[in-house]
Amino acid sequence: MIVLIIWHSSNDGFTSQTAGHYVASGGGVQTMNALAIAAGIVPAENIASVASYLASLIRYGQFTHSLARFIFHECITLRYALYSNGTSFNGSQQYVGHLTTGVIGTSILLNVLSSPTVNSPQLAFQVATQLTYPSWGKTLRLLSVQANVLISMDVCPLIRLYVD
Amino acid sequence: MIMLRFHAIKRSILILTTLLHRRLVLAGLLWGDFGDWYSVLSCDAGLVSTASFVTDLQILSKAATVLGLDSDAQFWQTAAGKLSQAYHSSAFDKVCICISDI
Repeated sequence: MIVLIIWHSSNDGFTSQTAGHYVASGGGVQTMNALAIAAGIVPAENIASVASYLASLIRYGQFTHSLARFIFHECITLRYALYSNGTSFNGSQQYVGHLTTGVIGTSILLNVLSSPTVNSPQLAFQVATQLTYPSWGKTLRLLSVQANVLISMDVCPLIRLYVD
Repeated sequence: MIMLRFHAIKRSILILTTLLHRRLVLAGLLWGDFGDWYSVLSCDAGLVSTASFVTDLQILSKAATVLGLDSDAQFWQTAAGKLSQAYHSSAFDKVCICISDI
């Protein structure tokens, strides 16, 4: 029974203790829950749990692997903790404070987080100002590096206008 | 002019609804391949399509209300409600137990 519960929960890719949320087979639960709130699909009795789950997904990250991978990553985490000099390696719980959405989910995620339903504008700010992958900050940094390379090679002088 | 636009949107929605009916029969559940493109973690394309279609139907219903077409507004609102129920019943998980709790 416990194995079944672990299998069930590990397939959903969640970390929240909240009961009642939307699941996704590929782990894209941020999109599924944000989309349901934005489209007004969630029944009134479940809005609180879905909103709480979406906030906790971003606040605490989410498991992104199946049970086998989960155990594998836990072993790596333990091994890394034993043989490294105190530096941490977060192998299973990923994307803390980050978005995992695509073109549809990204367009609504910040609005949903800031809406009165979820009421977590600080989380929206955290997601919007991240500098590590996946985030807008990481993308801008990559673009900046690429633009500077192009300038140094004098491939496209006009790009100075955008970088400056 | 607004009325012409409304009927154009209504025709396109009707075409999508016809496709929806076919896909419902074929797939047995939801429709569409309009997924969450370029996402870090993927999710079911059918459900994303369904949620987008619900939004379309709600917009159509609101437009009908503004134009005074009450029967149209009621019809599309009912359709949006049915699709919302389909999304909810197929993707909502009532049981959720955290691994760290076990």
